[in-house]
Amino acid sequence: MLCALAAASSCVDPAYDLNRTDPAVTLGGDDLTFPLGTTRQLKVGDMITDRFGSLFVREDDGTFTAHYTADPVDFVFAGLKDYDGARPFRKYCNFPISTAFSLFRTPASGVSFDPDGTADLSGLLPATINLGTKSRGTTLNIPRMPDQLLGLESITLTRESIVRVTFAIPNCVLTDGTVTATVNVDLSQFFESEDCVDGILTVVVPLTKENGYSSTIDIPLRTLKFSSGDYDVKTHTLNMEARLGFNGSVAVSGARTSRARYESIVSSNPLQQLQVTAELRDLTCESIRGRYDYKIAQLQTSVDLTNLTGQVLDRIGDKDAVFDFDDPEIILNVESNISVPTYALVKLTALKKRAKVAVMDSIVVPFPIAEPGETLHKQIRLAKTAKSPEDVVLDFTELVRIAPDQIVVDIEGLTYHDQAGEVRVGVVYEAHVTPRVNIPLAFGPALQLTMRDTLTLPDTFGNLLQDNRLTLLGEMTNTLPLQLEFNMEMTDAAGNRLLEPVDATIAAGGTSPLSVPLVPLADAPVGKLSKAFLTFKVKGTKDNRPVKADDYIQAALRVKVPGGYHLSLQNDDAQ
Amino acid sequence: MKRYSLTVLLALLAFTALVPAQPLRGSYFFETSLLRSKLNPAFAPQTDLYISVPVAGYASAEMLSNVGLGNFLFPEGDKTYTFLNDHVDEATFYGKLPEKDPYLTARFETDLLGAGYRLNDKLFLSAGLSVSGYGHADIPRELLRFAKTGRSGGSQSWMIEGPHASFLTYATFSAGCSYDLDDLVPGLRVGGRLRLMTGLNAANATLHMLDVQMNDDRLAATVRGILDLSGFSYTPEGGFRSDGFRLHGLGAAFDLGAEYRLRFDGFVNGLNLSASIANVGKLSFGKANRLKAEHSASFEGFQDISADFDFASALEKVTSDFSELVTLESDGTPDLRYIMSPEIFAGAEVPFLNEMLSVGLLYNRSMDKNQMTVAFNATPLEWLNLNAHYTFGPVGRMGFYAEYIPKKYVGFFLGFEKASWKTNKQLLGIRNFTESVCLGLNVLL
Repeated sequence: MLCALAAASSCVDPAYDLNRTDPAVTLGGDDLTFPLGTTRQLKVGDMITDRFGSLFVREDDGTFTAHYTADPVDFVFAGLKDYDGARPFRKYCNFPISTAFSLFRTPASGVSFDPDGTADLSGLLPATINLGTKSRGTTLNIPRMPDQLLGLESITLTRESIVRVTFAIPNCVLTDGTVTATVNVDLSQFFESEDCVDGILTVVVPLTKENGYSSTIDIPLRTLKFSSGDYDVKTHTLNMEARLGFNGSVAVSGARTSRARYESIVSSNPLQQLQVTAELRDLTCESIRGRYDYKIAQLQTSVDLTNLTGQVLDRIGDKDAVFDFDDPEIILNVESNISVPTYALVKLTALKKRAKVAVMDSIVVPFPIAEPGETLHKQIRLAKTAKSPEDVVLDFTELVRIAPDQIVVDIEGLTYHDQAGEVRVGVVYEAHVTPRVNIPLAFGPALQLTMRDTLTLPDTFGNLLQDNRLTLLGEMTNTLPLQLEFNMEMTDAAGNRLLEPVDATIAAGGTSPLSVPLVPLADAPVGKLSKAFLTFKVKGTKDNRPVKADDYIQAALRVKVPGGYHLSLQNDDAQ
Repeated sequence: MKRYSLTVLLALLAFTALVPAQPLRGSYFFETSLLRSKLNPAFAPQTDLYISVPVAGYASAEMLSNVGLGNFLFPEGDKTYTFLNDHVDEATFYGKLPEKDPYLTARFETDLLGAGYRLNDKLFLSAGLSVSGYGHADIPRELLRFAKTGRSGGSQSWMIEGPHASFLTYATFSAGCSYDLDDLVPGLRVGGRLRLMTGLNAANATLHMLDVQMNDDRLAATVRGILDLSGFSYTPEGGFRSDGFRLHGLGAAFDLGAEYRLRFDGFVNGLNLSASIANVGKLSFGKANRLKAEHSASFEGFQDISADFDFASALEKVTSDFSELVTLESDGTPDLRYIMSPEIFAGAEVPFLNEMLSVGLLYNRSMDKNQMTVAFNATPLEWLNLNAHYTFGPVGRMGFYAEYIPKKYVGFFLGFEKASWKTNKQLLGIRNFTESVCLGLNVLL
């Protein structure tokens, strides 16, 4: 029994001594992974509002735009205002055009007077008389046409402009009866009238004893006609040569005369004539259609971008940021009554700290053409890509990319020399132009922003990493059209790096797998881990899609503990 | 000196699994042995009267398990690693695990009072008051695999069912008699013992289900279990508290036994056959406090993490959610009953050399486990019994027994069994934790 007891107590295997047992244990195997969680969707809309306030305005389609409006500039075509088209015509009106048609000769015999002293001439005079055709040539000279007029196409007259035609039979032998003149007045070489589009007006005029065998009619005129060569651009004078024509017939009825009249006429002036006089009256120019050469001195305004570049840079904290705003646009708000084809010559000058850093000039912007008498409001868009046929294609991305703090806009107004327009005399032609620069939150591939942040780590994190290797796994969803490059450095309180730096790339517009191993540097006192310095490099893509309010970044994270979770069974107080 | 939580862990294991080993097994074949009647009430000592020294009259402790330190510790060079250490690969550890779930059972018994008295030539009476304790725990293999392998084995969910842990203590008053029926059948002796029991305290915990799911996106657990308490009370605020020394319920059991002795002349002096059934009965603790834990918790990760996210509060909430899993709630007062596990002993002994030596075979069935013991017994002196035996069974083990049993004054015995003769410095078995010890000091008159 004693031997057995001795044997039992002597068979001690020191290899199983609990005191030499390694207290380190590992739980969970090699594939120990826990869900960490899902970050809040970091929505661009919220971020922009938080960081930049009202700098970027949310549009109806969810995109963001920074709007910058310059002071308006006013163009005035003052040279046309004072042109008085009436004066040269009035001068011409002092010279009426007259012609006379022979009607009949007063019969020298065969006139039998009634007891009352009158005689019936019906049988002695022709009932109808063909007047034939007569024309009179004349010249028209308008010397002071506008200096800016390169070519004249037409002149429209005011409604007061008329041609007054007088029909009269001077020393008419008739004391009773009617002479009816039917006359075609051919004004076609001078004018167009609303009453006679072809310029030939047929006038039927009854001449009676009541009107003294004289009658006047007014014919309204509308357009002055001339040939293209009539306008001398050097002297700015319109020289016209034209003929005025008359033809027609006369009908005589109920013709009677008195003895006294007959005797005085037959002896002195037996040939009776129809005298026609045309007199242009109150001719006034309403508008002049032609090609103009007009130039308005360069006007200047500017767009202040300091809050864009300065504020954004300040908020992001990256002084070396490269902005590559894609598809910025300039909107010219135009309010104009100019009816002459006109364009603006625009020059953009980018300033940075008042120094000129880039210039874009000779930008031709056609102005809208107003109908005469109307004022139109229109927006002209200048951008890299045209959205409508009226847009002006202008790629000034490079100008914005250099992040200027001011863009100076020089605008010069000019007319197209080869296009005609109509100018109303006495009207002030002017245009108010308000430039606005819209910078949508859309970026090109050259965008490069760097954002930094620092996290203070809890002490337990360092302690955990002392015994364990952790890997952050998961997926990063990034609907932004921007690529994100992530870097993290973890240090102690003094800034000494304790872990291998971590890099990860998060692709634009999709979900990227994430695997971030947290590997301590050799012999690094990981327990002193204190801070994590995070750097996000934001890069643009060729997508060029604008950033939208609903775009977001979200991470679904897991913690993998490669090799399992290590812990020590050794009590702290045993150490 | 370093204190290790591992020590606590293994100590806990040591008190949680076992099958009764009956440390008195070595005394079974000694006619003069004082207390072998505990195995078979037909046995009666040769002493006319004995009185147990309080507490020391009979004390036994035993531990049974299907594992030992060697299942969990792996020496390598000058270091020893636990099975959860990276140095121990999964195949090595799993190769050491038993096919069935590891268990540990512990039992102790001590006689507070005890006495035996030979009333006449045929009848021997005995009585005693003892306190017994029993504890048992299972450790599911699945739980060990989960801790060691986690998801590496390809699983993302673990259904752990049926882990059970219990302990109980009770007091027993027993009275027995052994009667010689030699007149009726030469060589026959029978006996019986009645036990009246009362519970002291008990706890019975069963984890019906522990469902753990762990994948990349979700960590979830569902717990369904009950805990019956007797002699303890529980409040969420105060935790577990002992109700003090109180008797809970009542129980009864009986033992029956017989011995048949044949005597021969010659080298072999005879053949002793014996059999008994013991511990037939039940013990009720009366109304128990039933607590249940029926909770689920899951964690799919923190949501809406942002720069100002309060990790500490969120983590605290998750911790609280999972702590809720083991929150106990009162669930009635059911009766807490234990059906005693009957034991069967059947022995055959062949004495020789004037009964100075004998060999014996002892069959024992206890808790559905069959064991066969081969014993070599020696009585070199009238007052000295020595035994060596080996028990075949789920856990093979070697045992020794020695008893000093003079005619008068003081008798003393000591017996022990060990499955693993190799231990560590802390005397924990390396091959197997199974071992038992019994000793006793009695006054012989």
